[in-house]
Amino acid sequence: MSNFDPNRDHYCTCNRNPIHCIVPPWIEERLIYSRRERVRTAIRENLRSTQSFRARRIVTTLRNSRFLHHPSSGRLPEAFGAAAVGLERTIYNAAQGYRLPGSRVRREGEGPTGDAAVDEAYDALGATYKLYLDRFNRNSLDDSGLPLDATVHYGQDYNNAFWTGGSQDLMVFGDGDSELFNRFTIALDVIGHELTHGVTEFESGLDYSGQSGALNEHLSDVFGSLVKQYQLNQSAAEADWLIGAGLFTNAVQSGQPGVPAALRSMKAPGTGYDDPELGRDPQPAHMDDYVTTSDDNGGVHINSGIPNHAFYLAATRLGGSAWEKAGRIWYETMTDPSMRRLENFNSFARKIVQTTTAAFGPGSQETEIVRASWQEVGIFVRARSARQRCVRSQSWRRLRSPGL
Amino acid sequence: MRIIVKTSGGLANISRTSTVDTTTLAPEEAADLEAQVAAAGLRDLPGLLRAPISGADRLTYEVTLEDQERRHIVKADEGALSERLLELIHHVRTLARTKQG
Repeated sequence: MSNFDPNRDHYCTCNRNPIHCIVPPWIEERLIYSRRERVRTAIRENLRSTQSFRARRIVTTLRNSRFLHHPSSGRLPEAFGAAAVGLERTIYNAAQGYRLPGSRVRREGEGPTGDAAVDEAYDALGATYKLYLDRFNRNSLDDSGLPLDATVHYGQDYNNAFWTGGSQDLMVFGDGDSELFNRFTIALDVIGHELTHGVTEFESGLDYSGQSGALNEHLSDVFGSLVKQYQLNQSAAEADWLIGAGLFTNAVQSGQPGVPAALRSMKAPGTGYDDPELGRDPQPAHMDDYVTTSDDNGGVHINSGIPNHAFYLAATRLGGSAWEKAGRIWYETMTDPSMRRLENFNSFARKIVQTTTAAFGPGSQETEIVRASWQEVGIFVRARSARQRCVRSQSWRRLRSPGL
Repeated sequence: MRIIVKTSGGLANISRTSTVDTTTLAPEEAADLEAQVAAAGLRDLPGLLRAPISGADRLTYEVTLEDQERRHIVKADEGALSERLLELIHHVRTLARTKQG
């Protein structure tokens, strides 16, 4: 297949990484076990982009190998040569204690337990897995069938949900204090949010502080919201664009008449709640109101309102279901090898516009909508270089033809 | 003795402060709280307890202990706290809520 693109001014010799078409197959097979993560990742991407039987066999092996995605663990492939791992959920119960993961209460394929938190977590892990697989051809958090583990009933009156990261890869949910917060499994988007932290960790590993941390939070809000919209089969126009609706008890007041209280609003950042006891949702919607703070890891849950609003604007203006165009643009960008741990709002917005340009063309309506959406939140994006366009164009085509 | 627990961060990023003064508690409640503080080793902890950077949406705590003339403040990442300290924090929050209610 020629890599010449008549719309570009040069030949593309790569497809996501420079190893493509250069390395003989026997070397590729050896490099799967390289100690260097970047080499393993590059080889894996190569194999996924080819159609050969040999590639399918190797990718099946890769998908069964947590070792490849946990280089720090030093573990060998756990199920070398076995059938590809699909959705594999395990729910644990911490029984109001603080030890993780707790006791195992439901495994993949087992029926409902009657414990709402257990069953909500199980179903929401499934819904999140489904969105990523159906729409983005991604097999779990690491794209290699990583089992999904969650712990519920963590702590006493515990008002939080979090992602442990590291070697545990565990989603943890508290029951709330029943005064201000309900159980944290009640909101599907919150579970999608936590799982997306896992995706980010396996991809760019966006540093969890300042603007890169706010982008990490932003991506979790975007895909958390998409999980909910996909489950409800809502168009971008129909969605509520709230994060964590239902999480607050009825005692907490919303920041917007007629809209339920929520942690955040992507449609109207700063209006999630406005309550005498909790105060007001502090999220800005524009760079003019950017909050400089040392709290909250440098405002990661605060300034994420700015890219969140840009996504909302892009998704509603692109029309249809948000996962179709906006979601794919954001997914393709967040998984692009050019993403670094220390992206800022400007560099991320530029990559988003680059992805859109590569997929739809420089003067396309889509590109202008996405660029204008960033501009509306105070982030201005200039044109990008031709070579980057080429890489993204290849990458987008791969996404459009998912599967091996 | 007075204990002030400030919780912040997390998915919701909402700060909450709970305060308990043992002079307002029943004698047995005060003795129980004193025992929990001692068991958790709160007075011996350094001022800053950091956990390795990992995961997302974790809480942070600031625990202030005031004994007559002395004041000891511990700022801690959730991941750096022992189970006993987490249980003490919950106990303080519950006591504060009960007294308010």
